[in-house]
Amino acid sequence: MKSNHGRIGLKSLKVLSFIASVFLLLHPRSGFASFGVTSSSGGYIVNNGANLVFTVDSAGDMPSCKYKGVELNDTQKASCLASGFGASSVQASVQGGVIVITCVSKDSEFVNCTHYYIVTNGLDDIFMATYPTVEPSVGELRYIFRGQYNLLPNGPPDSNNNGNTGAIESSDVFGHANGTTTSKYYGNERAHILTVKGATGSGVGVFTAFGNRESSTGGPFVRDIENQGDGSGGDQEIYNYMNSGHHLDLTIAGELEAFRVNVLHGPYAFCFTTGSTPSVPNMNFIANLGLTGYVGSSGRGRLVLNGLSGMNPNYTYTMGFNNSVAQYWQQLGSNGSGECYNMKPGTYNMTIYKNELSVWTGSVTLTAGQPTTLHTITITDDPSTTPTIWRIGDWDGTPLEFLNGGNIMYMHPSDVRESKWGPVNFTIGQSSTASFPAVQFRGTNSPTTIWFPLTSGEAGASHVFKIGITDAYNGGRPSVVINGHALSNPGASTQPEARCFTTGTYRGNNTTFTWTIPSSDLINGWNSITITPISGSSDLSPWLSASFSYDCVELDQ
Amino acid sequence: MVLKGKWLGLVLAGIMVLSCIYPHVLGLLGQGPKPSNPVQSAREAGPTTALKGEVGPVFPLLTESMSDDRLFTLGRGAVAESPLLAVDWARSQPDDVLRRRILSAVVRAWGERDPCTAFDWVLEQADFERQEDMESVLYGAVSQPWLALSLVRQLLKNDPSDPYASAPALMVALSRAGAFQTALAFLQNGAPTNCRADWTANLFKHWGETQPQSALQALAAMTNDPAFNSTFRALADGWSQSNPGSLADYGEAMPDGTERNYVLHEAFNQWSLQNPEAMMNWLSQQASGQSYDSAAADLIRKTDSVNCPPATAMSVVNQISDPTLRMQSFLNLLGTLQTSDPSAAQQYAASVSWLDNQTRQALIDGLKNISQQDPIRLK
Repeated sequence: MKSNHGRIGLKSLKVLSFIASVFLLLHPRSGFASFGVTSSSGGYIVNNGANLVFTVDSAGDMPSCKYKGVELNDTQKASCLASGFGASSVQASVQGGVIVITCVSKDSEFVNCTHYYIVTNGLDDIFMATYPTVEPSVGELRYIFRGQYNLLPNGPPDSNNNGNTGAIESSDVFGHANGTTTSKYYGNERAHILTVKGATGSGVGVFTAFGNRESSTGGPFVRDIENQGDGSGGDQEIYNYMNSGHHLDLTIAGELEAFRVNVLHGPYAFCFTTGSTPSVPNMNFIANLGLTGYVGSSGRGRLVLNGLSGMNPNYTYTMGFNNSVAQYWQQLGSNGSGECYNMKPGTYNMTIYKNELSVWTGSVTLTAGQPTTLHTITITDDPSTTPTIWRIGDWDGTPLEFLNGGNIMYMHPSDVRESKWGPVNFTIGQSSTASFPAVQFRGTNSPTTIWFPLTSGEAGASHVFKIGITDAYNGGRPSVVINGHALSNPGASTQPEARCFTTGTYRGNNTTFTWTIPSSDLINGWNSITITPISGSSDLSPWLSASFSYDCVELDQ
Repeated sequence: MVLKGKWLGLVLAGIMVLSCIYPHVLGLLGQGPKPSNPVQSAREAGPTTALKGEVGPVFPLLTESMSDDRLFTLGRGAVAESPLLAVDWARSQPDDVLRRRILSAVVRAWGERDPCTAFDWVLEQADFERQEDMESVLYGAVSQPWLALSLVRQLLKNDPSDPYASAPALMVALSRAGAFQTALAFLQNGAPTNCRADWTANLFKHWGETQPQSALQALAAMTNDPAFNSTFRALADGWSQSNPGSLADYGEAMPDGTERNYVLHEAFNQWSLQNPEAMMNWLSQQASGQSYDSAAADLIRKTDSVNCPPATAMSVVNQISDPTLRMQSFLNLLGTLQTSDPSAAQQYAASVSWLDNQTRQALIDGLKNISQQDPIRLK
């Protein structure tokens, strides 16, 4: 009997054809275009087999990106890593249903940096990954998608500079006729909750899926640029910042956070839709592509924390890990338990955060291929447990509960939407926490005066006075006068050099200043404390003056 | 006869356990908690509410803005009326966070007032709530630390796996209460062995912060402990937070070695931040050498003209022996001067005696270059 293997009859062909046509109707993204890659002028044109056709040029940049035949990319400026990749070699490979464009740089700024563009057949996502051997000399590692603003006008409003009336600070914070402010620094999310973000237009949306952050810098609570409507109506810039000098000098677990090089950043992706916000795409297939620096799941471990003791139910807790190679984090459950997956093996600093405040540090060693289990960790370092006579705010590493604290991430402090900054007179027992300033600017709202009553017993003893700050600008730190007696001036805390309160962040190095107030400075009855920023550096403007953001202020028992 | 150390602890624990059976014993011994008129405190809270369908105690209305201290005071008052009704009242709060906070306060107050009964109650609670209740009850119970210790030891004896996480809860509670000796006794006898290193470090950090001399004495009896060095460092970490000056004095008296360097580093790092003026005075009495260099570098890094005039800072820099540290400190000084008095920065770069000509010129050029840049971008 003759075998029928390898033979398809006419009837079968008709059935297959029918199935294929139904499939195409149900899955219109598949099969309309021809999946493949063609060389072009030293670069490549990639067709993803669905709605995307994009070009990677011989420099490793992306000058063209068409979605459903419409050019989304700025026609003058390419999308690129940093301000242009400067590739020495660009090569394409097709592995089954996956196209990988591998770009290697010879540019002095990016010696031997490798950047990947990856697409899978039928998915409207451009996956990327970047392997730098040195930190770019500009001090930041980022990919920028330069979309045409008129096609993608609906971006995040806080970073849409279009319609501005001019820069109000440097060349990157803009004012508008109605008194509001915008900047690429505003409206950005903390690293630990990054998912997708982008801009949309008529029938189209482009989004960054920020992807794996293990090689980025700064820990779970830093924010960096995600978007900018460039102000000229030209570009809608959609970013993935992997690291930047905005966080230089941040310390975690007492150690300076350095840029991580010779490791793979990502994978991450730019996702293209008809306008809806996509979910984070599955990037697991990249494990099989042999990218430089990619560590597969078998080469990774996981950490299991059984729980925390000493939690405060008002707050969420996060465990964070960092060493020179990688960083990770995981929000913990209500009893403090949690698991952190896919961690590279090695010894890590481990930090437990109460909101954004470190309340426990230790170290832990992870082994590939197996879980590491930690017993319940005891938190005894939460400063909120210290008995006080009074406390303004609470220790959590943020100024969010204070006056304008919730606005720092979204606007310039001069913005018309801000409540009046002061100077503030704050009376213990009468004033609300929300009336205490989130930021103390030397040039704007100083001093802050705190009025508080003491009993004769309280005034008859010395007391510890604490000011916790989350960040400082220009060497600002508090100078304190109690009932007319000046306390000693502290030194400057170690903080990131970059601007902060005018560029959407309060996230520096949490620092506590402590004084012991002698009883001779205290009064039975009403007392006053005034707080003024001091610094040996000159102020550049009322808002760029020596300043610091409060976490908590308290007088201990 | 004088009872000391372990024996005193055992006798006290025995008395405390007995007191569970005969609560009035505590009162007779004068060791029980003395809440300050809790009922009156509760009534001072303002509007009150009764539980639906109940005829009995009337509990105050709660607001989310109430501090934890305030809630604890109210919890004390409610527990004085009826612990179980107080728990019901706490559980009836509609807001999730407020419910957890007031429940924690009530259970803590119950643990303070009647530890044994409250402890037994916690063991009967649902799994999802038990750990928080355990922490709260022990937080209150540690007002009688040896009793709290004996309760947890008994629990661990029955089930060493500690399904209720009572051991870490006890450690937290004892540390918060400043009952460090009791916590150490638990660590040395009763605490799970795989937690010892972490918990010991944690304990000594807190102990060093509040009672450094007492912590040093306790640590002196642990020289054979494999975690001795890490525990000592934890103690120094804590000590540096509260009194870096006395830690610097202690470090100066230590023999040369890595531990001395660690102690001095921690002390200088904190002192230069908290009170650079006092540190400057201390430094002026120190001889040149490694300690001086380290302290001076920390001081220069964290200070500017607010803390000391540039000329004084320059003289401190000039006395640094180590060439690398001296150069780093000089650059730090120039960096802060550049933002307030660029010409002074130029002048120092031009006149400092120990720079070679090539470095001097590079510095002068660099300072000129910086002054031509956008100062906002520089910051």
